[in-house]
Amino acid sequence: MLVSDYSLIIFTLAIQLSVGLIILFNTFIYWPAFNSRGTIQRMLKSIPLLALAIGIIGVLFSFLHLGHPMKAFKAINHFETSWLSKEIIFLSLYLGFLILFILVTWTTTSWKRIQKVLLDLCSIAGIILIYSMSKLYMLPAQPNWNSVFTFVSFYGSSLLLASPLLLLLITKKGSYSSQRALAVLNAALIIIALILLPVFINFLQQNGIPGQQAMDLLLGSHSLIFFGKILLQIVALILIFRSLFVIRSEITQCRQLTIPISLTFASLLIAQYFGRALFYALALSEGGF
Amino acid sequence: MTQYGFYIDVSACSGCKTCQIACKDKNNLDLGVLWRRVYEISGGDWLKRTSGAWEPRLANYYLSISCNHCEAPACLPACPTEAIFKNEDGLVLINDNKCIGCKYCEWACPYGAPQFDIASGLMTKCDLCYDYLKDSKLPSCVSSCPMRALDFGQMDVLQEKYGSNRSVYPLPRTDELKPSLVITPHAEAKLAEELSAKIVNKEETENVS
Repeated sequence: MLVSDYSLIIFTLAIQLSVGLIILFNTFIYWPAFNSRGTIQRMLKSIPLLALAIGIIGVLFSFLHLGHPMKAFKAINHFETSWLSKEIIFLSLYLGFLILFILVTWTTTSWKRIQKVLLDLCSIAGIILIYSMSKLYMLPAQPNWNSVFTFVSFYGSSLLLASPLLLLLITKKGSYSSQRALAVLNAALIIIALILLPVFINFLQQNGIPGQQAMDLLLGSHSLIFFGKILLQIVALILIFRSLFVIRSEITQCRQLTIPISLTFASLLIAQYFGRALFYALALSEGGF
Repeated sequence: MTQYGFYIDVSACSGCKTCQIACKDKNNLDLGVLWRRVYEISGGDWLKRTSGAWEPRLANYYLSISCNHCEAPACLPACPTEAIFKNEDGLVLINDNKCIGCKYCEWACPYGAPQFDIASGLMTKCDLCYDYLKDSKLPSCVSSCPMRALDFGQMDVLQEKYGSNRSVYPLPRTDELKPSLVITPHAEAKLAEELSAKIVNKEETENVS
């Protein structure tokens, strides 16, 4: 499971990172203190482009999961009942709005209202996309996935990965207050993830035979990945706290931030990869069939 | 609409796996793909009697399962391409031209019926030997069973003959799916549930493709 599902792991993480980047960017770009050095136009051009590149990488990996990638367009046919169809439609809408936004931003600087509308539409499509992506896995036949933890995990991954990446992208251009806000958000999300871990373990223990089998996996054959993920999250937390200590004033040196934030992002990326691999490994039906 | 289904006499199954092999042979299934699987259910513990003696409690039996051609199958609404459909005989079938091999039906089905065939890149599953059915022949698994533990027919006929029980431990309780099954449970099935007996040949039955 861990090897064969690498394409789905990369697809889900890439899309969630891309959406998280756009949502946070859309939230912070209109914050007056965000672009104290007057570089809003440069950020408007570069950050959505990066989000699009990450999204496209995700889509390409999703094709590797399919037996017949050339027929992938047929996946939109069952919109009424299939969450997979809904996911593909909202993914197309999200990427469509993102491409439109990029086209408008790169061709003109005067359509600010249209830019805002497109970025809002892109964020809304992204939020619904993550919702569809979560619902897709919340199947009655998969008791370990069929809980609110799937929502928490998917939306959580989105912001957990996007916050250090956006922080990294604005170390040169962003203001002190926006850097600090992103670092605090990232630290808070890691702490929430660590606090929720025992709650999730308790849920698995109460979740009948599939839950017991999941516990056996987490503490047995998959324990290295499970504890590796926790360790990497703790490392990321220490690094982000160190960065918070560095971001003390407007005269923060870019170099002082780049290395710890890069390491924070890398640690969280690997931790989330491990976490998503474990998520797929927990696909254990009620009777074990 | 007619609804065909299977009868499984769990109490009579000896676990010989002839049905599994007959299905694999008839449908020329690739390595790893098993439309019919025989699961070994096993569990046990020790019970201390008042005399101080320890008495073993054991539950062991076999369960032969393929697609249950549910009346309301979970795989059908989940399929994003509308490749899965129910035909006029109540069989749940896959349209190969529509299937993209996304494997979502595999997760949605609680019985592990749809299986990915790496050679064709498509999802595959039991079609109840539909070609045999048209020739008024029995499905290969049913005709091959040396214990006569399997039967097949229209659901109302099967229910009249064998009763209406559709479940046995550890089959998931999926009343809303209405699996087209009639089951005679094994005498140790209740004890197996009490002991939380497990499938002990999981590796053998798993599709690793």
